Amino acid sequence: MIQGWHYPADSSARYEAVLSADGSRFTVTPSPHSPVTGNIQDLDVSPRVGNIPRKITLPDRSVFETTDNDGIDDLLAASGHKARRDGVLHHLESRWHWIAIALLLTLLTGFAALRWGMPWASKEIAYAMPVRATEIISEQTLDILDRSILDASELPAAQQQRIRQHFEQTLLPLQDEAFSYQLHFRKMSNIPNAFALPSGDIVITDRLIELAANQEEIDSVLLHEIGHVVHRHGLQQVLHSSFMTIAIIMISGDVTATSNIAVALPVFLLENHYSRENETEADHYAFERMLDAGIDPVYFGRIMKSISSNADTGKTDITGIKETDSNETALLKYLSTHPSTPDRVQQAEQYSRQFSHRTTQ
Amino acid sequence: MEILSCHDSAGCGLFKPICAGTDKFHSDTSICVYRYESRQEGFEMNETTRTEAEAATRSFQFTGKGGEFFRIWIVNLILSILTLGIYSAWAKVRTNRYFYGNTQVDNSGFEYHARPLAILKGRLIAVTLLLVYVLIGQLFPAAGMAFALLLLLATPWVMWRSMQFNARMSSYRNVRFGFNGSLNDAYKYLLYIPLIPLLTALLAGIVMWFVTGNADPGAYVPLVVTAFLVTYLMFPFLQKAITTYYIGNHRYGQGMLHVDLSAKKYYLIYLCMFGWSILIFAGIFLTAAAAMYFSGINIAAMLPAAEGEIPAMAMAPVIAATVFVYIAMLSAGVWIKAYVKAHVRNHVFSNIQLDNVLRLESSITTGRLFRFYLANILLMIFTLGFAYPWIKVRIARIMADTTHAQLAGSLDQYVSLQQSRQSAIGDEIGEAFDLDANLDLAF
Repeated sequence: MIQGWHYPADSSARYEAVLSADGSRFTVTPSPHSPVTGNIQDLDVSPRVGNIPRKITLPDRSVFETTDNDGIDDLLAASGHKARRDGVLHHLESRWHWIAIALLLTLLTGFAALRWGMPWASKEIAYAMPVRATEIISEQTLDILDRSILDASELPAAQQQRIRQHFEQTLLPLQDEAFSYQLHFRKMSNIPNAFALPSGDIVITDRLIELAANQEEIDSVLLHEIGHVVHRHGLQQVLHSSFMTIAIIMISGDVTATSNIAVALPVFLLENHYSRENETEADHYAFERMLDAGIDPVYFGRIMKSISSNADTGKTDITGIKETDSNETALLKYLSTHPSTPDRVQQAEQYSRQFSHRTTQ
Repeated sequence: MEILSCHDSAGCGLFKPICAGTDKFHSDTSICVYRYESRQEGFEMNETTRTEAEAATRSFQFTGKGGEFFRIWIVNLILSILTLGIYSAWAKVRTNRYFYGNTQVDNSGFEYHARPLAILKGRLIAVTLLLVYVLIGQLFPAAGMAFALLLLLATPWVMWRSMQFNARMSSYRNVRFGFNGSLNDAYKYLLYIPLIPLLTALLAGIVMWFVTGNADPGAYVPLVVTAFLVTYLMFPFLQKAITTYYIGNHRYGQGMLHVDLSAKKYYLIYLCMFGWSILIFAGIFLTAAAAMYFSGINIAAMLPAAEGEIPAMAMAPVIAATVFVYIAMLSAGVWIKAYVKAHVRNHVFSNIQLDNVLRLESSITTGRLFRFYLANILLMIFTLGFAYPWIKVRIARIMADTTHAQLAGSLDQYVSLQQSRQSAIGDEIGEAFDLDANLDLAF
């Protein structure tokens, strides 16, 4: 005997009713009306969700509705009704050990996807992308930068020509990737900076060249940028942030979630983490190539220092932040897109020892 | 027996409600309460229903529980992850069924009927579009803009389909809802009218350019600024128009929902919001400035020293002040959101009626919503988002608690109308791009 309401087909009129089962037959008895009977197997029972009222559609399209979920489950089990299998989900949702497993799995997969899955996928796709595609992407980027923050270089044409010639004849032969490298001179108000686009377009600012004490220092910076191109860092970052955006939208079901601080902060910290890894990778690439070319890696450390001490004029992409303090706090590290300058200088000096070791042999 | 009705007061709370001090002032909600009979034209009861109506205030109830929904949510989440998102269609149906089913009035719950497979199909299309959009946007900004423009043009259609689908998939007491709004009106309110100021400015700019030949972009700035200003000024009117379109075109069986909103009321709410904002932000800055002044910190004197070392001790009060201003601004922003939401919701819900049988009442307060929003931010941060199910249950409970239905007749007479079947495509594209979130009317 299950208590509930009976609704005639498509109607909002309702009558108190009871549902009873006898063998393979059911009977619904609405209080002022005559009973409806039929085969239990012909009942259409809605799957159970929590404790919301259960809807049972009778063969005549009238509806029996009840809050006695357990009673219905017993009836389904006893009669072997096909809807009893729908109970699997409710079973998962109501046993704490399944919940604990689900919670653990969710945390693990979430962590693994963030930590390894997305970076791995970004890397694979970035390396698989044809060089031509990277060119199409970068064309527009440089255009936009030229219209917004970059101005034409004010360096003498002869100096530009000298640096470019050196870049093409000495630095490019150090690697054998199919990118069509292009060196661009630009002025970015008074900021010393250099950056690379995925296509191999490398931009260096006037101020950086002014700060460089010699050709070797410029070389070290350009090799660092070539390192970004060779390792497809730009592409990887674009792909990675696309994945993050999609994941956030999928999980929260909400496009505006990406602007929510609770979501944006971890994403920001994570992106910076990968950015720092990329910088270190590009640094190492530059050191190795400098060793190949017979340039002392210590020059990279020197130009980093010059940029840092100049940096109170603004943010630069090559050192990232303007802190020169060696006692940089841990917090600041997380907020930074670049490794700290002292760390990079120290790395350069380490490679430099390797260099002097080699040259003395 | 007295039947309560929240008749809108002067609104702001900046001023006292017009009924303050009289027996019509309801101190919990700061609104004026009038007798039901004096309320609204066109809501007359015939003799047979009058006796029934006198005792017929029914409260909405939400019977769901945070722990129970957490279990459903976490299973949904892990199964969605393990099936690479495919299960999310089933997850959506289970979630909606849970919230509809637990929202009850007059001993009956609502019901959600969408089939997971229909939703899955729409969702696959939506995700494909989203992927294309994100990739194009990242790789080719210009093409991404063109794509976004196309999406913008399709938006009213998607929302219109979404409204139809959601209405058809909902029922109460075995009778389905429906949506009768026309596609033309959807375009009118969601696209044409909102764009009028900007298009007018564009046209005026072109005419100006032809007449004066002035190529200096600076000359056109006032035109653009005016267009944006007019767009903002139109916002309350638009919100009223869209809400009226959305609710007023809903059916319950053969019955029609009516909503009688006042644009004046909307403008009053936003005007009050504006007034409060100025007062609050001025207050925050004055407090911060006064604190700095009395603690003897002189920012100007510190600026030349910025090149050298600033002792950490000297920075501490500045950091404290910054943190104070930040938290105060954040809370103020949340409070303003709660203020608008509470007042708009009360105005809308208190003016909805079904034929002459049922009328809704809403009496949510700014304070209650404000505490809820503030607690959410903290909860979400400190639980890494795992508090989400409890938050969702809590807001459903708050909304149900503050909503009442007044029955002036019998609900027995309604029957579902036969409806043509449509796919979930519009609905799901709408969901992936969060288009119907701005309507913010879902119960």
